[in-house]
Amino acid sequence: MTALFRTTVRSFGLFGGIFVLSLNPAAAHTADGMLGGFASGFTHPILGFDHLLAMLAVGMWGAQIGGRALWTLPVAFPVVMAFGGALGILAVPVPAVELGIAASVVILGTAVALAARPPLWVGALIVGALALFHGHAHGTELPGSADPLAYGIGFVIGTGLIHAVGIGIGAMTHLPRGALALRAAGSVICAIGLYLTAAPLLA
Amino acid sequence: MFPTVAVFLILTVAAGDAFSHVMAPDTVLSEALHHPAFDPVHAVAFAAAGLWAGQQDDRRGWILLCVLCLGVVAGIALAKINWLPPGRSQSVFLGITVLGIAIAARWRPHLAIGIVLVATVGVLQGIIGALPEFKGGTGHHSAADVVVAAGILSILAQELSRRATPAWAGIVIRVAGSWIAAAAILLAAFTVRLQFGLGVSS
Repeated sequence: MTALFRTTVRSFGLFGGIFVLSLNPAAAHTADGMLGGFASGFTHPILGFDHLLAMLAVGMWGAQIGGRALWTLPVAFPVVMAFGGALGILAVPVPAVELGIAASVVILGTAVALAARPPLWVGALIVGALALFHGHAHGTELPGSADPLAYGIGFVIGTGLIHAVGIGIGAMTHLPRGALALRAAGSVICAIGLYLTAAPLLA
Repeated sequence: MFPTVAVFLILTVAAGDAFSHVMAPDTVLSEALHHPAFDPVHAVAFAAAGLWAGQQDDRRGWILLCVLCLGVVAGIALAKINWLPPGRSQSVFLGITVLGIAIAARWRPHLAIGIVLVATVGVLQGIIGALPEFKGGTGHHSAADVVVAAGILSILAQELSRRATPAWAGIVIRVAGSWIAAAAILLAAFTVRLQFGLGVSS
Protein backbone atom coordinates (compact mmCIF):
# COMPACT_ATOMS: atom_id res chain seq x y z
CA MET A 1 0.00 0.00 0.00
CA THR A 2 1.22 3.49 -0.71
CA ALA A 3 2.10 5.75 2.15
CA LEU A 4 -0.60 8.21 1.14
CA PHE A 5 -3.19 5.44 1.15
CA ARG A 6 -2.16 4.30 4.60
CA THR A 7 -2.15 7.81 5.94
CA THR A 8 -5.56 8.64 4.51
CA VAL A 9 -7.13 5.47 5.87
CA ARG A 10 -5.61 6.18 9.27
CA SER A 11 -6.80 9.73 9.24
CA PHE A 12 -10.35 8.88 8.34
CA GLY A 13 -10.42 6.05 10.82
CA LEU A 14 -8.99 8.16 13.61
CA PHE A 15 -11.31 11.03 12.92
CA GLY A 16 -14.35 8.84 12.82
CA GLY A 17 -13.36 6.68 15.74
CA ILE A 18 -12.63 9.55 18.08
CA PHE A 19 -15.83 11.27 17.16
CA VAL A 20 -17.92 8.16 17.79
CA LEU A 21 -16.20 7.60 21.13
CA SER A 22 -16.82 11.20 22.13
CA LEU A 23 -20.57 10.85 21.84
CA ASN A 24 -22.25 10.68 25.21
CA PRO A 25 -24.60 7.69 25.27
CA ALA A 26 -26.19 8.97 28.45
CA ALA A 27 -27.60 11.82 26.47
CA ALA A 28 -29.37 9.46 24.12
CA HIS A 29 -32.32 9.07 26.44
CA THR A 30 -34.42 11.31 24.29
CA ALA A 31 -34.63 11.98 20.59
CA ASP A 32 -35.27 15.65 21.25
CA GLY A 33 -32.81 18.49 21.10
CA MET A 34 -29.35 18.61 19.62
CA LEU A 35 -28.38 15.00 20.15
CA GLY A 36 -31.61 13.75 18.62
CA GLY A 37 -31.11 16.01 15.64
CA PHE A 38 -27.52 14.86 15.27
CA ALA A 39 -28.51 11.19 15.49
CA SER A 40 -31.23 11.69 12.93
CA GLY A 41 -28.86 13.39 10.51
CA PHE A 42 -26.07 10.91 11.14
CA THR A 43 -28.22 7.88 10.44
CA HIS A 44 -30.05 9.31 7.44
CA PRO A 45 -27.35 8.49 4.86
CA ILE A 46 -26.65 5.16 6.56
CA LEU A 47 -30.21 3.92 6.61
CA GLY A 48 -30.86 4.88 2.99
CA PHE A 49 -29.58 1.91 0.98
CA ASP A 50 -29.14 3.88 -2.22
CA HIS A 51 -27.29 6.67 -0.38
CA LEU A 52 -25.13 4.13 1.41
CA LEU A 53 -24.10 2.30 -1.77
CA ALA A 54 -23.27 5.47 -3.68
CA MET A 55 -21.13 6.91 -0.91
CA LEU A 56 -19.35 3.61 -0.38
CA ALA A 57 -18.64 3.57 -4.11
CA VAL A 58 -17.15 7.08 -3.94
CA GLY A 59 -14.67 5.93 -1.32
CA MET A 60 -13.95 2.71 -3.22
CA TRP A 61 -13.41 4.56 -6.49
CA GLY A 62 -11.08 7.06 -4.85
CA ALA A 63 -9.05 4.22 -3.35
CA GLN A 64 -9.00 2.44 -6.71
CA ILE A 65 -7.73 5.50 -8.59
CA GLY A 66 -5.26 6.25 -5.83
CA GLY A 67 -3.06 9.29 -5.40
CA ARG A 68 -4.85 12.54 -4.69
CA ALA A 69 -8.19 11.04 -5.71
CA LEU A 70 -8.10 9.09 -2.46
CA TRP A 71 -9.17 12.15 -0.51
CA THR A 72 -10.21 14.61 -3.26
CA LEU A 73 -13.36 12.71 -4.14
CA PRO A 74 -14.51 12.40 -0.50
CA VAL A 75 -13.82 16.12 -0.08
CA ALA A 76 -15.73 17.14 -3.22
CA PHE A 77 -18.77 15.00 -2.48
CA PRO A 78 -19.96 16.61 0.80
CA VAL A 79 -19.42 20.16 -0.42
CA VAL A 80 -21.44 19.71 -3.59
CA MET A 81 -23.93 17.57 -1.70
CA ALA A 82 -24.46 20.51 0.62
CA PHE A 83 -25.36 22.71 -2.34
CA GLY A 84 -27.91 20.12 -3.35
CA GLY A 85 -29.11 20.09 0.22
CA ALA A 86 -29.53 23.84 0.12
CA LEU A 87 -31.75 23.47 -2.92
CA GLY A 88 -33.80 20.88 -1.05
CA ILE A 89 -34.16 23.10 1.98
CA LEU A 90 -35.34 25.97 -0.17
CA ALA A 91 -37.73 23.62 -1.99
CA VAL A 92 -36.09 24.37 -5.32
CA PRO A 93 -37.24 21.50 -7.48
CA VAL A 94 -34.60 19.25 -8.96
CA PRO A 95 -36.03 16.89 -11.55
CA ALA A 96 -35.92 13.16 -11.02
CA VAL A 97 -34.02 13.20 -7.74
CA GLU A 98 -34.75 9.56 -6.91
CA LEU A 99 -33.82 8.52 -10.44
CA GLY A 100 -30.64 10.54 -10.15
CA ILE A 101 -29.74 8.84 -6.88
CA ALA A 102 -30.37 5.41 -8.39
CA ALA A 103 -28.36 6.38 -11.47
CA SER A 104 -25.51 7.52 -9.24
CA VAL A 105 -25.31 4.01 -7.81
CA VAL A 106 -25.14 2.63 -11.36
CA ILE A 107 -22.54 5.13 -12.55
CA LEU A 108 -20.27 4.86 -9.54
CA GLY A 109 -20.60 1.08 -9.43
CA THR A 110 -19.70 0.94 -13.12
CA ALA A 111 -16.70 3.18 -12.55
CA VAL A 112 -15.40 0.81 -9.88
CA ALA A 113 -16.23 -2.27 -11.97
CA LEU A 114 -14.33 -0.91 -14.96
CA ALA A 115 -11.54 0.49 -12.75
CA ALA A 116 -12.01 3.78 -14.56
CA ARG A 117 -9.13 6.20 -14.09
CA PRO A 118 -10.18 9.53 -15.58
CA PRO A 119 -8.31 12.77 -14.94
CA LEU A 120 -8.82 13.96 -11.37
CA TRP A 121 -10.98 16.90 -12.38
CA VAL A 122 -13.27 14.63 -14.40
CA GLY A 123 -13.70 12.27 -11.48
CA ALA A 124 -14.44 15.15 -9.14
CA LEU A 125 -16.93 16.54 -11.65
CA ILE A 126 -18.76 13.22 -11.92
CA VAL A 127 -18.86 12.76 -8.15
CA GLY A 128 -19.99 16.32 -7.64
CA ALA A 129 -22.78 16.09 -10.18
CA LEU A 130 -24.12 12.95 -8.57
CA ALA A 131 -23.74 14.40 -5.07
CA LEU A 132 -26.26 17.08 -5.98
CA PHE A 133 -29.09 14.57 -6.10
CA HIS A 134 -28.15 13.02 -2.77
CA GLY A 135 -27.90 16.42 -1.16
CA HIS A 136 -31.31 17.46 -2.40
CA ALA A 137 -32.89 14.35 -0.92
CA HIS A 138 -31.23 14.99 2.45
CA GLY A 139 -32.01 18.69 2.36
CA THR A 140 -35.74 18.18 2.08
CA GLU A 141 -35.62 16.40 5.46
CA LEU A 142 -33.53 18.94 7.35
CA PRO A 143 -36.19 21.55 8.12
CA GLY A 144 -38.36 18.96 9.86
CA SER A 145 -35.64 17.69 12.16
CA ALA A 146 -35.42 18.23 15.91
CA ASP A 147 -32.36 20.48 15.63
CA PRO A 148 -31.36 21.56 12.11
CA LEU A 149 -27.86 22.57 13.19
CA ALA A 150 -27.15 19.18 14.69
CA TYR A 151 -28.93 17.39 11.82
CA GLY A 152 -26.77 19.16 9.25
CA ILE A 153 -23.56 18.40 11.14
CA GLY A 154 -24.68 14.82 11.71
CA PHE A 155 -25.41 13.92 8.13
CA VAL A 156 -22.26 15.60 6.80
CA ILE A 157 -20.17 13.59 9.26
CA GLY A 158 -22.16 10.42 8.54
CA THR A 159 -21.46 10.87 4.84
CA GLY A 160 -17.78 11.35 5.46
CA LEU A 161 -17.52 8.25 7.60
CA ILE A 162 -19.27 6.16 4.93
CA HIS A 163 -16.64 7.42 2.47
CA ALA A 164 -14.00 6.26 4.95
CA VAL A 165 -15.52 2.78 5.04
CA GLY A 166 -15.54 2.78 1.24
CA ILE A 167 -11.86 3.70 1.21
CA GLY A 168 -11.22 0.86 3.62
CA ILE A 169 -13.03 -1.55 1.30
CA GLY A 170 -11.06 -0.10 -1.59
CA ALA A 171 -7.89 -1.08 0.25
CA MET A 172 -8.42 -4.60 -1.06
CA THR A 173 -7.10 -3.42 -4.40
CA HIS A 174 -3.62 -3.85 -2.93
CA LEU A 175 -4.23 -7.47 -1.95
CA PRO A 176 -3.66 -10.50 -4.19
CA ARG A 177 -6.69 -10.76 -6.47
CA GLY A 178 -7.96 -7.75 -4.54
CA ALA A 179 -8.27 -5.60 -7.61
CA LEU A 180 -10.52 -8.22 -9.18
CA ALA A 181 -12.59 -8.51 -6.00
CA LEU A 182 -13.02 -4.76 -5.88
CA ARG A 183 -14.20 -4.66 -9.47
CA ALA A 184 -16.61 -7.48 -8.68
CA ALA A 185 -17.96 -5.44 -5.78
CA GLY A 186 -18.41 -2.54 -8.17
CA SER A 187 -20.36 -4.80 -10.48
CA VAL A 188 -22.66 -5.80 -7.64
CA ILE A 189 -23.22 -2.14 -6.77
CA CYS A 190 -23.97 -1.39 -10.41
CA ALA A 191 -26.45 -4.27 -10.60
CA ILE A 192 -28.25 -3.09 -7.47
CA GLY A 193 -28.34 0.38 -8.94
CA LEU A 194 -29.93 -0.94 -12.13
CA TYR A 195 -32.55 -2.68 -10.03
CA LEU A 196 -33.24 0.49 -8.06
CA THR A 197 -33.55 2.41 -11.31
CA ALA A 198 -35.85 -0.10 -12.99
CA ALA A 199 -38.00 -1.03 -9.99
CA PRO A 200 -40.21 2.08 -10.02
CA LEU A 201 -40.71 1.70 -13.75
CA LEU A 202 -41.73 -1.94 -13.42
CA ALA A 203 -44.00 -1.42 -10.42
CA MET B 1 -1.46 12.04 16.22
CA PHE B 2 -1.75 14.78 18.84
CA PRO B 3 -2.59 17.63 16.44
CA THR B 4 -5.32 15.60 14.79
CA VAL B 5 -6.84 14.56 18.09
CA ALA B 6 -6.72 18.09 19.37
CA VAL B 7 -8.22 19.57 16.20
CA PHE B 8 -10.94 17.01 16.38
CA LEU B 9 -11.62 17.79 20.02
CA ILE B 10 -12.00 21.47 19.19
CA LEU B 11 -14.61 20.68 16.57
CA THR B 12 -16.36 18.28 18.93
CA VAL B 13 -16.47 20.89 21.65
CA ALA B 14 -18.23 23.11 19.13
CA ALA B 15 -21.20 20.81 19.62
CA GLY B 16 -21.07 21.40 23.37
CA ASP B 17 -24.80 21.97 23.57
CA ALA B 18 -25.22 18.22 23.08
CA PHE B 19 -23.94 17.75 26.61
CA SER B 20 -25.74 20.66 28.18
CA HIS B 21 -29.17 19.14 27.95
CA VAL B 22 -28.31 16.41 30.45
CA MET B 23 -27.35 19.02 33.00
CA ALA B 24 -29.78 21.04 35.09
CA PRO B 25 -30.35 24.36 33.35
CA ASP B 26 -29.24 26.48 36.28
CA THR B 27 -25.91 24.83 37.05
CA VAL B 28 -22.59 26.55 36.62
CA LEU B 29 -21.60 23.89 34.10
CA SER B 30 -24.66 24.52 32.01
CA GLU B 31 -23.93 28.24 32.04
CA ALA B 32 -20.33 27.62 31.07
CA LEU B 33 -21.39 25.44 28.18
CA HIS B 34 -23.30 28.37 26.76
CA HIS B 35 -20.14 30.44 26.77
CA PRO B 36 -19.20 31.71 23.31
CA ALA B 37 -16.33 29.22 23.14
CA PHE B 38 -18.84 26.39 23.17
CA ASP B 39 -21.46 27.96 20.97
CA PRO B 40 -21.30 25.91 17.77
CA VAL B 41 -21.49 28.85 15.40
CA HIS B 42 -18.77 30.82 17.18
CA ALA B 43 -16.51 27.88 17.90
CA VAL B 44 -16.58 26.49 14.38
CA ALA B 45 -15.96 29.91 12.85
CA PHE B 46 -13.02 30.69 15.13
CA ALA B 47 -11.55 27.21 14.81
CA ALA B 48 -11.92 27.34 11.02
CA ALA B 49 -10.16 30.69 10.89
CA GLY B 50 -7.37 29.25 13.00
CA LEU B 51 -7.04 26.12 10.88
CA TRP B 52 -6.83 28.21 7.73
CA ALA B 53 -4.32 30.59 9.29
CA GLY B 54 -2.22 27.57 10.21
CA GLN B 55 -2.07 26.59 6.55
CA GLN B 56 -0.51 29.96 5.67
CA ASP B 57 3.06 30.89 6.46
CA ASP B 58 3.91 31.95 9.99
CA ARG B 59 3.74 35.75 9.62
CA ARG B 60 0.63 35.70 7.47
CA GLY B 61 -1.19 33.41 9.87
CA TRP B 62 -0.62 35.66 12.85
CA ILE B 63 -1.74 38.71 10.88
CA LEU B 64 -4.97 36.94 9.98
CA LEU B 65 -5.66 36.02 13.60
CA CYS B 66 -5.07 39.58 14.74
CA VAL B 67 -7.46 40.77 12.05
CA LEU B 68 -10.02 38.20 13.23
CA CYS B 69 -9.96 39.47 16.80
CA LEU B 70 -10.08 43.10 15.68
CA GLY B 71 -12.97 42.21 13.43
CA VAL B 72 -14.85 40.69 16.35
CA VAL B 73 -14.29 43.86 18.36
CA ALA B 74 -15.50 45.95 15.44
CA GLY B 75 -18.56 43.76 15.04
CA ILE B 76 -19.47 44.13 18.69
CA ALA B 77 -19.08 47.88 18.43
CA LEU B 78 -21.31 47.97 15.36
CA ALA B 79 -23.96 45.92 17.14
CA LYS B 80 -23.86 48.26 20.12
CA ILE B 81 -24.62 51.25 17.90
CA ASN B 82 -27.37 49.18 16.31
CA TRP B 83 -25.74 48.89 12.90
CA LEU B 84 -27.08 45.50 11.91
CA PRO B 85 -26.53 44.51 8.30
CA PRO B 86 -29.37 42.72 6.54
CA GLY B 87 -28.89 39.06 5.84
CA ARG B 88 -26.43 38.70 8.69
CA SER B 89 -27.64 35.20 9.58
CA GLN B 90 -26.92 33.91 6.09
CA SER B 91 -23.69 35.87 5.86
CA VAL B 92 -22.39 34.26 9.04
CA PHE B 93 -22.76 30.80 7.56
CA LEU B 94 -21.49 31.86 4.14
CA GLY B 95 -18.34 33.19 5.76
CA ILE B 96 -17.82 29.86 7.51
CA THR B 97 -18.46 28.11 4.19
CA VAL B 98 -15.74 30.09 2.45
CA LEU B 99 -13.32 29.33 5.27
CA GLY B 100 -14.16 25.63 5.08
CA ILE B 101 -13.57 25.53 1.34
CA ALA B 102 -10.34 27.50 1.80
CA ILE B 103 -9.15 24.89 4.31
CA ALA B 104 -10.15 21.99 2.06
CA ALA B 105 -8.38 23.54 -0.90
CA ARG B 106 -5.43 24.74 1.23
CA TRP B 107 -5.96 28.12 -0.39
CA ARG B 108 -3.12 30.61 -0.01
CA PRO B 109 -4.37 33.86 -1.54
CA HIS B 110 -2.85 37.29 -1.49
CA LEU B 111 -2.68 38.63 2.06
CA ALA B 112 -5.18 41.39 1.28
CA ILE B 113 -7.79 38.86 0.23
CA GLY B 114 -7.18 36.83 3.35
CA ILE B 115 -7.52 39.90 5.52
CA VAL B 116 -10.83 40.84 3.91
CA LEU B 117 -12.20 37.34 4.37
CA VAL B 118 -11.15 36.94 7.98
CA ALA B 119 -12.19 40.48 8.87
CA THR B 120 -15.63 39.85 7.43
CA VAL B 121 -15.99 36.65 9.42
CA GLY B 122 -14.80 38.41 12.56
CA VAL B 123 -17.18 41.36 12.17
CA LEU B 124 -20.15 39.06 11.62
CA GLN B 125 -19.24 36.90 14.60
CA GLY B 126 -18.88 40.01 16.71
CA ILE B 127 -22.29 41.28 15.65
CA ILE B 128 -24.07 38.02 16.46
CA GLY B 129 -22.06 37.67 19.67
CA ALA B 130 -23.49 40.96 20.90
CA LEU B 131 -27.07 40.07 20.09
CA PRO B 132 -29.12 37.89 22.47
CA GLU B 133 -31.35 36.69 19.63
CA PHE B 134 -28.87 34.06 18.49
CA LYS B 135 -28.67 30.48 19.74
CA GLY B 136 -26.71 29.93 22.91
CA GLY B 137 -27.83 33.16 24.45
CA THR B 138 -24.33 34.54 24.32
CA GLY B 139 -25.75 38.02 24.32
CA HIS B 140 -26.13 37.92 28.05
CA HIS B 141 -22.40 37.35 28.49
CA SER B 142 -19.93 40.19 28.23
CA ALA B 143 -18.77 41.08 24.75
CA ALA B 144 -15.23 40.44 25.95
CA ASP B 145 -16.11 36.75 26.25
CA VAL B 146 -16.56 36.58 22.49
CA VAL B 147 -13.24 38.30 21.81
CA VAL B 148 -11.43 36.02 24.24
CA ALA B 149 -13.07 32.96 22.70
CA ALA B 150 -12.00 34.18 19.24
CA GLY B 151 -8.45 34.61 20.33
CA ILE B 152 -8.03 31.37 22.23
CA LEU B 153 -9.82 29.07 19.81
CA SER B 154 -8.24 30.52 16.68
CA ILE B 155 -4.73 30.50 18.12
CA LEU B 156 -5.11 26.95 19.36
CA ALA B 157 -6.44 25.80 15.99
CA GLN B 158 -3.66 27.63 14.15
CA GLU B 159 -0.95 26.03 16.22
CA LEU B 160 -2.44 22.60 15.80
CA SER B 161 -2.81 23.08 12.04
CA ARG B 162 0.76 24.33 11.77
CA ARG B 163 2.15 21.44 13.78
CA ALA B 164 0.21 18.85 11.77
CA THR B 165 3.39 17.70 10.09
CA PRO B 166 2.38 14.11 9.21
CA ALA B 167 0.77 13.93 5.80
CA TRP B 168 -2.32 12.25 7.18
CA ALA B 169 -2.90 15.05 9.70
CA GLY B 170 -2.93 17.57 6.87
CA ILE B 171 -5.45 15.42 5.03
CA VAL B 172 -7.67 15.25 8.11
CA ILE B 173 -7.65 19.03 8.35
CA ARG B 174 -8.60 19.40 4.69
CA VAL B 175 -11.41 16.87 5.10
CA ALA B 176 -12.57 18.72 8.21
CA GLY B 177 -12.65 21.89 6.14
CA SER B 178 -14.96 20.28 3.62
CA TRP B 179 -17.25 19.09 6.41
CA ILE B 180 -17.30 22.59 7.92
CA ALA B 181 -18.18 24.09 4.55
CA ALA B 182 -20.89 21.54 3.88
CA ALA B 183 -22.58 22.01 7.24
CA ALA B 184 -22.42 25.79 6.90
CA ILE B 185 -23.98 25.72 3.41
CA LEU B 186 -26.92 23.74 4.74
CA LEU B 187 -27.42 26.08 7.66
CA ALA B 188 -27.18 29.17 5.46
CA ALA B 189 -29.97 27.75 3.32
CA PHE B 190 -31.98 26.93 6.41
CA THR B 191 -31.76 30.50 7.70
CA VAL B 192 -32.87 31.78 4.29
CA ARG B 193 -35.84 29.44 4.48
CA LEU B 194 -36.74 30.65 7.94
CA GLN B 195 -36.29 34.29 7.17
CA PHE B 196 -38.12 34.41 3.87
CA GLY B 197 -40.52 31.54 4.34
CA LEU B 198 -39.27 29.84 1.20
CA GLY B 199 -40.39 26.28 0.72
CA VAL B 200 -42.86 26.46 3.56
CA SER B 201 -46.20 25.10 2.54
CA SER B 202 -49.15 27.35 3.29
